[in-house]
Parts: sequence; structure tokens; C-alpha cells
Amino acid sequence: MNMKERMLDIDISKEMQSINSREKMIRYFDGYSAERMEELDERKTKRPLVKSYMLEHVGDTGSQKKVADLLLSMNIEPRKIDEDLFLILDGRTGEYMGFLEVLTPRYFVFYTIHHSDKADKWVRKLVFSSPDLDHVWLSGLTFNVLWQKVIQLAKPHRYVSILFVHESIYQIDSEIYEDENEEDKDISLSLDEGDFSEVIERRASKFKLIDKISVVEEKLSKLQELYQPLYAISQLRFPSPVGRGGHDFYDYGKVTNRSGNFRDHRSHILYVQGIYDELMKMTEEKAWYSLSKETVTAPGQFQKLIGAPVTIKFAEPLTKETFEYWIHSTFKRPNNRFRLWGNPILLGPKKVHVYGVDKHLWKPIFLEITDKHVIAIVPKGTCGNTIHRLICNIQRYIDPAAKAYIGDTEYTSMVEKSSKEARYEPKY
Amino acid sequence: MSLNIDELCKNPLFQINLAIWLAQPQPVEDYYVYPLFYKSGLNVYSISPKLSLPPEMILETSGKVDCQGAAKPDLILEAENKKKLCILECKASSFSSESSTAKQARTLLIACSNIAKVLAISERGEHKAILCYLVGLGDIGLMEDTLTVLAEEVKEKTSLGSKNHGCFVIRPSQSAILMEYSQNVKDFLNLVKDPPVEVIKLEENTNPHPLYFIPYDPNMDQTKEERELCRRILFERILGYMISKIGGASVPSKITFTLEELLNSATFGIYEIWEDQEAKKFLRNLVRSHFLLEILKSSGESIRATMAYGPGNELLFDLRDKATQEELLNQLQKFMPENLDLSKEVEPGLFDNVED
Repeated sequence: MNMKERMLDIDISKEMQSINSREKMIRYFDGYSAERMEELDERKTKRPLVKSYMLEHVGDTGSQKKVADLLLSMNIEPRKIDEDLFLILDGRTGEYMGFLEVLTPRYFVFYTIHHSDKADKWVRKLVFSSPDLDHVWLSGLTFNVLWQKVIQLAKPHRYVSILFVHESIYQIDSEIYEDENEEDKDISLSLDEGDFSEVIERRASKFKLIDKISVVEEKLSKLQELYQPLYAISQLRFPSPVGRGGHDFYDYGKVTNRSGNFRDHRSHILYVQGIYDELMKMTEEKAWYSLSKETVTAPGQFQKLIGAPVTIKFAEPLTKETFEYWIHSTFKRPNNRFRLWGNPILLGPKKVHVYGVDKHLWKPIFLEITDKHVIAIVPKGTCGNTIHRLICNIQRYIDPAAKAYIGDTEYTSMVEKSSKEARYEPKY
Repeated sequence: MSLNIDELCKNPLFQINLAIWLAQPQPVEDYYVYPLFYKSGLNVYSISPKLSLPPEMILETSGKVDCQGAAKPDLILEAENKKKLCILECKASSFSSESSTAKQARTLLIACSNIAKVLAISERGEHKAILCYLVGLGDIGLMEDTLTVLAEEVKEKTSLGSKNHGCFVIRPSQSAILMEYSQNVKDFLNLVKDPPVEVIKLEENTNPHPLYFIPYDPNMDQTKEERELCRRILFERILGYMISKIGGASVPSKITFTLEELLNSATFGIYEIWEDQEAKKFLRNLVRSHFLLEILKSSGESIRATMAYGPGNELLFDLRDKATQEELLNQLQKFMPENLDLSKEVEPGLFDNVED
């Protein structure tokens, strides 16, 4: 970090420190966003854009730790502004990092104006350090439904930006791709291929599409049929209804404000969070396996099995090599991209059972993995987020055109239903 | 991998897990197990319930037919409107009306005669039940004959009994595991397909068994390979539960695992409702001596200092700090139930009687 960047960080920290009410925060971010929009128009951004990170508090419902306690245990000091808003001071560096808004006991948003690299790393570390926190995971399947919402919400002449990212990291052409710490690696969302980029000889797709909504609406589904990685949407822009630009939603819950209005940015986050919340409730209600005790007058109790398996079906069967490498890479390495632990029980050349654990949230998950599908049994208490992260990762690294089902219901139809039923009535 | 699909079809644990899968909602086309029961509107009403006959039924049958006061079928399926139920019992093969199994069958036939009362659903008698046996490879006709003989015997000697009975047979073909059933079963349960139905497609050199809901039952006859596999599944599930609980714990804290908690976690809580005390004792001994003690033995010195085996057969972990938690997780994640002697005989435990 050079001197200029360090000074900027200090300025940002100081500016945020002086904000002591919700109104001031909104006004500050609103004015800040308008300035950045002007700079964007002139192609000369002097300071970073406003970024938000949608987070989920995944402790057992009803027994979640208080947000303050959660952060304090990581040496992060939340300074209370009001009941649901905190100014965040990183006790390790003495820097003010941003603001955390508690939307519901389960969902938070972290707003910051620090540089993307710095903010991304800080949030990733925050999530990595706590089994109680996770990103909000928006899979390609979810984005495909949100894209329909963009069509409904914005005028056809507005521009949309969509980023597609798929990398078949388990598809090996030549030598084995070795990387012990896969989970620390994120595929860069930048389209710039630097001097030190590896030479890739496996399918890796990264496209950015910016065009009028009417054009994309007409072409996208046809293009997706022709080239499957186009199902793997990993970023989608909601055009701002109050001006130029919009809000870029990323698959791991980051939202960059590329509009001149913070209030509009926040209301889009609340809208998507509402859809996600509904989807999560539906997923857990349907998928959680448990024995429900049905007490009858006599004689005793009967145990009714409730729940539904999660099925992720690949568009095309995986090759034996890809299947083997995926299993090896996931379950033989402590730090793997899927963040799963388990001892695979080999039942055939292309079939394993894993009675494993989601290592991020430390919850059990039972998996049948074959070259054609993944079936997951999720015991009650395992957060629905585990399922969404699994779908996200499969689309990104295994099969961009994979279909997912909870029981006999297609996942996308659940997202559609969630987007119809989502209601959010913010206090502010 | 040596595979004997014939033997697998005769394995009651495979059968009961298959029956549960047949009742699970699955994608319309992309299913692994064809959800015959689910598509026919049947759900799992209860797993391994104890059905006690009401006093008037016991009095009516006492001294007349050789039956029990209560019986535990493997599964009860219910139609969506709950007006029809299927009492399902899994057996390796068909049996004769002279065998010891016939006693249980008579009891279940009597229970079927007024299932609403037995299940305490209602007193009005509008619920009907069918007793079905799920057997592997047997002759469907032979099994049907046995049930007919038993049903007629009960009807002849008492005012109870049910004419609703039948069986499901599963057997492998070249490419699939097929399920067969007679017309009266199809009609009673409104099954959506004519038999035989391909319930699981076979893949070359691949064990067809689905993820098990019920991982292990010591009472069930199994081949050595199947028993080892089922014990491994049980241990893997317990290990996963322990890792989950330790990984999600705050530090510093003390964590306790009782045998009952571990077995409940591995069986979706079925252990708790089992009334077979001998089987439960066996499972506790199995988990304690073949699994927990092995974990203790395989742990490093530093970790062993944080673990203790309590007087009530509980395993205690003292998570003093983050480093202890991480080291413990590291060791547990390296522990491989696959390397245990999974066919070893289980010896009675020293505290068995104390526990009970």
C-alpha cells in the first residue's frame, strides 16, 4: 500500500468516526455516492465506491449470539448508533471499517467505503473466523430469477451488466492442478489477464455483458442454451430507478453502489435480502430431515419422518477423471473450496457416499455424489445456507447448467415464489 | 468391489431404507430411486412404531390365536388423506404359517382390523389398513399364500382379522432393481404403476444402495460386507456429529457426548424410541468399545490430556482455548472409521447392568 492509499484509509476512517446517527450515515453515504457518480461520469474516481456486504447470522434460530458479542469475540468493536446500527472499529488495527446494520436477527449488512481489495479481505476474514457468520449466497440459478425481476423493474432501454464466471477446476487436461489452500482462492472477477496469469487448459469462462435490457432479454436464454457457462451468472446489476448506473450484486452477497444514490442502493439490498430470506425459510422448511413426534392419546408416540432430499442434477455426466479429482480434491484436503469434511465411502467407480460436515458452519450434511448428481440429506438444524453455497459452488466449478431440486420442487421455482412472497417492511 | 445384489435385496436394512426412499419427494424425471410411494400419495407415517393391541382385542384373541399383545412393524405408510395405511414389515425372504414370524404377522393382521383404534387416530373406523411384507427374491405367491392362511385362521377363530394383506418383492434384473406386488396391493394403495417397477437403475460395478436413513440395526441378518459397511456408516455419522459440535462450540467450554446422544444423532432420533433394550445395549457397547475407545487410543498426548471418559460412559472434552479446539478438530478429521476392525465381535460392557 503506498502513502497516498494509506492517507486515504486514514481519511475514510476519520470521516466514519464522526458519524453518530443513522440520519448522518444516510446523508453521508448519499452525498458520497453522488460525488462518486460524478467522478465515474468523468472517468476519474478519486475515492472508492460504496460497497455493501450481505451477511447471514447462521447460529441456531433462537439461540443466536448477539451481534455485539459475536464481533467482540473477534476483537471488533461495534459502537452502537441505534438499536440496529453500529459503527465498526477494528480493534486489531484501530481503523473504522464501516457500518453494520442489523436487518433481522438473521441478516446483517456491512456498509463501507474502503477499497474493494481491503474490504473484500476484511469481510472474508470476518466470515472465515466465525462459524456463526456466512455470506449470503446468490447462485446462478437465483440470479437467473433475479434477472427476470430486473426486466420487470427497469425500462427496456436501460443498460444491464451481467458477469458470468465458470471455471471447471476439476477438469484436468494435463498435470494435476495442485493447490493445498483452495478455499483461500477466489477467482478474480477482473477481466484483466495480468503478466503472471496461469495458462489455463481447462474450461474457464469469464464474460462481462453490458447491453440494453431489451437486447439481453431477447438473446440471453438462447445464448445459455448454446453455451452453458452463461448459466453461471455471478454478478448482476439492478439499474437504479432514480438515475444512471445501478447496484452490482455479486454471488457472495457483495453489492457495489454504481449509482448516485445510497437510499436506492439500500432499498435494493433490502429487496434482494427479502427474497433470500423467503427462499431460506422455504428451503429449510422443506429440506430439514427430522423425526417429528406425534403424540397420540394412546398408546405412546409415533415418529413421523419429515424432510426432502436436495438433488443437484448435472446437465451432462462428469468424466471419470473429473469425478475422481473433484472427490479427491474436496475430501483429501482440509482446505477445499467446498469447505466440506468427510470420509468418502466408495460404492463404485463414480459413486461415493459422504456422511460429512459443512466445515464453515460446522453442521452435518449427508451426500451422495455420482457423475450424474449430488443428493444431499440435511438434518434439521443445518442452515439452508449450506445448500445455497453448495449450489453456487457446483455451478461455478462443476457444471454451470446444473439443475437443483428440493424434493420434487425445482429450485428456480422456489426462488420465483420467494420473489413473489418476499415482503420487507423496514423500520427506517 | 464384490457385489451381491441378490443378497442386498434380501437385506432388511436395505429394504427399509429403500422403502423410506420410495416415499421421498424427488425430481419428476431426475430421480435416483423411483419414488413409487410418494407418487402414489403415500408418506412415512411412522418408523418402527410399537403397536399395542387394545384390551378388547387382546381379550378377543386370548387363547384363540397365537399372537402377541404388541408388535413393531418397520414402517407405517399413510395415504395423503390418512384414510388408508400400509403396515410394512421387511424380511429377508418369505416364511411359512408355521414359523415363529407368523406370530407377529397374526398380531399385525389383528391390528389392521381396527387400525384407527390401534393408532388412536379416531374411533369411527373409517380408516383402513393393509399389512404388507417386503421381501427379497422370494416367491410372491408363496408369501401371499402364507398371509392368506394366517388371515383366514384369525378370522375363523375370532371376530377380528383383516383381508387386506399382500407383499412387495424386490429382485435384481440385468439393469435395475425391480419391485413387484400383487393387484390387490396396487388397488388398495392406489399405486400409480403396474408391476414390475424399476426402482433403482443398476450401474456397472456399483453398489446401488441409497443414502441410509437408518444406518444400522444389530438385529438384522446381514452379510459380513454389508454389516461392515453399515457399522462404518454409523461411525462416520457419529464422527461427523462430534466434529460439528466441537467445531461450532465457543471456547473456552466443556463438551460432553453421551452414548445416547451420539446414537440419536446418527439415527435421526430412532435410537431413543427403540424399545429393544438388548439391541440398544449392543449399540452402546459397539460405539463405546469399537469407536470411542479407538478415538482415545489414536489421539496424540496433548489431545488426550483434554479428553476424559466419564463414569456414565460419556466422553468429555475440555476446549480450553482456540488452539486446543483446532488441534482436536484436526485429529478427529484425520480419524478414519474405515480403518477400524468393523467385523469385530462386541463384548458385553462392564457397566451394562448399571446403565439399565
